Amino acid sequence: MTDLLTPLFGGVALLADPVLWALVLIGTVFGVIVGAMPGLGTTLAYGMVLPFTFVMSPVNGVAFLLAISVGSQYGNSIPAILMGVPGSPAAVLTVIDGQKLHKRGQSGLALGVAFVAALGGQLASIPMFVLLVVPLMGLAYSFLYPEIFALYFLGMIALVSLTGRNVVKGLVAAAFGVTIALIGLDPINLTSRLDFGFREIRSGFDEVAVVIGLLAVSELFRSARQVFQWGDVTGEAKAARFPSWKAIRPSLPAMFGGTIVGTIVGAIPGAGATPAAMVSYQQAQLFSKHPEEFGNGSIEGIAANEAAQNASNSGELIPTLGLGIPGSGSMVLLLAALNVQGFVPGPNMVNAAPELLYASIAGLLAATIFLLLTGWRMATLMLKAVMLDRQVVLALSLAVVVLGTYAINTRILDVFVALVFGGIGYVMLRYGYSTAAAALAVFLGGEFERNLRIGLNFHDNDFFAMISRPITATILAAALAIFAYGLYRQLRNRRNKDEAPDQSISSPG
Amino acid sequence: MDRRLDLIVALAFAAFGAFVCLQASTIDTGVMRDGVGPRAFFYGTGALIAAGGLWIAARRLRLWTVSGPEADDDYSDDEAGYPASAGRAFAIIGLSLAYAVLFNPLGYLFATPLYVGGVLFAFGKRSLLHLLVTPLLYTASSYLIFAQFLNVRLPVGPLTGLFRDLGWIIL
Repeated sequence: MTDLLTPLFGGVALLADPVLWALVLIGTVFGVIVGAMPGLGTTLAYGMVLPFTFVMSPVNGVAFLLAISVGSQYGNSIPAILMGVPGSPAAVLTVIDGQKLHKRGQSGLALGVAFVAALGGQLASIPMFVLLVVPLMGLAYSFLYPEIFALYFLGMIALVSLTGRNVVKGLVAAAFGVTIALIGLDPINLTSRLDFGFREIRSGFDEVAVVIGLLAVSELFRSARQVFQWGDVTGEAKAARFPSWKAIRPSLPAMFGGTIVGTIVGAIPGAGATPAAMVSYQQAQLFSKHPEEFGNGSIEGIAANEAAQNASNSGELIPTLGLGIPGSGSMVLLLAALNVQGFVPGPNMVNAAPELLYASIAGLLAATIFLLLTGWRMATLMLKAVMLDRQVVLALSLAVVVLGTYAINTRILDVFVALVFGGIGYVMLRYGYSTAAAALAVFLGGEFERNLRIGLNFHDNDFFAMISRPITATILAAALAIFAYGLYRQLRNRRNKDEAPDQSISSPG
Repeated sequence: MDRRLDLIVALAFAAFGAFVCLQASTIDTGVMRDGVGPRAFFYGTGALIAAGGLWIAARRLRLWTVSGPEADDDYSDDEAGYPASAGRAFAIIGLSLAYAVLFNPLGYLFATPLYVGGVLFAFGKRSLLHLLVTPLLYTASSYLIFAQFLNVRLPVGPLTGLFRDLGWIIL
């Protein structure tokens, strides 16, 4: 208990510093703006402001960067709900349910649930982060390739329910994503695979560029099919009332589940907010009393997605601070900022400098409090954005996506990759191949194979020995249990639909 | 939805899957051997894509013979009551690829207004405000923010020498 309370009190004590508050304020607003702009994500935002952190104290620098993460994960949901344009790939599932509610005139409900879920997910994940980071430092050497393989296997299970209405098309999309993820160097022999002699893709495609293409660019291309104004479709949504507690309450279990899943998935190196949101959406659908509402304006879907995205901020910090292993691109930059300040990333970093842990808590906490006070106002201000010319917003969004993708590595190849996968994603969207499944597979596929093969090598290619390690076996059993339960729920739902043919949703052939 | 196009997409996926399987057989197996090997995952995903594509295509053909080329399932999510144009979407995809091609040789400051103006033109905008003022304002403001304030190195094409002389870019 002392292990938990000391960092929490340490973090709260730092909130007495007005400079920290000022930086958190700037960071959160900057994060919300960057998050709301298509193609610009947390990693890019970190890259933009990194040089400024060199002149800050380490505590203020960490708090400032984490405030950007909190703002960014909330900001991406606002244009997703109001305009159907995901601020970042992680918000693509918010588009599906949020836009449906917005079109039904329930913008306040969609924005309100997203707001409460983002705050709730962020706040609840902070004690989870503290609870996990301290023991994880002790577990650093028992969480090896087989255990990480098991975690990726858990993520792969989520692919099944992201397949959409046509399961075969969804599986084809997922296999396509895995194939794209595998292109590049073989993880064991480092020989090139399917690069066709192109030096530029010898190490594979940039995952972020592929996912931006599949999720964000494809959606913009699809939106370009039609010319109309948002106001014509949704009416003049100049004001939205904050939903009542009664309206929000049904989404609380999904929010809670999203927080847990977001923190855990966020903690897996290489995962981050997008897989966290997708896996959480799947779990919420699995355990929902109304799974048929998912994709048709489900507040549980929005809640799970938003809570998971913000919770993943805390999750990503677990391996970053606990083990010195950055969980995502933005965490690489956080460690880079700390490195410049003289800290040595590794399992002993937090033991040597506990103030970094306190600063993380202070940054996450202060940004959440600041969002609590201003987040709803920001969302309602954005309501006026639906009065903007839709076609101009789409054209500028495309230009910003190109600029943002280029800025990640200042490489034009990434722009080509995002645009080509945007075109492929557009065709997939049009003909019912789930881009969400493909994108999640891109994130998981490479690491799934790598951890499986290196794990097998560790056990002389004895698969049973590998999966019977205690932690690995526990995670795999949990994954299989979730899969079996999901299958049972799907069969039960199908049987219920068959028994009530009037309400059935036709399954495409 | 037009079953013919759905059939073409399914067959394209099937062909891609077969291609992946074929290419996988050419991957160098390397010196270090493991239980899975560098080809196995490609064989697995390639086979799944090929089989899935063929299954969808066969099902489409069967339904086509029963009820004609139009299927009642629609994945487009288009807004009802507004005409949709695949041609416009593909024109914008083409413009975007052209923008990427011209990004380095023309430079950001010349390629971007052309691109934004082109996309707005494809959307049917014809006013000076949309075709000239908006693209120029966006280009200037985004360049200032990204290149000058945030130090993102954006190519300036033929202006490189001038900007270097003025000290606006270092490399």
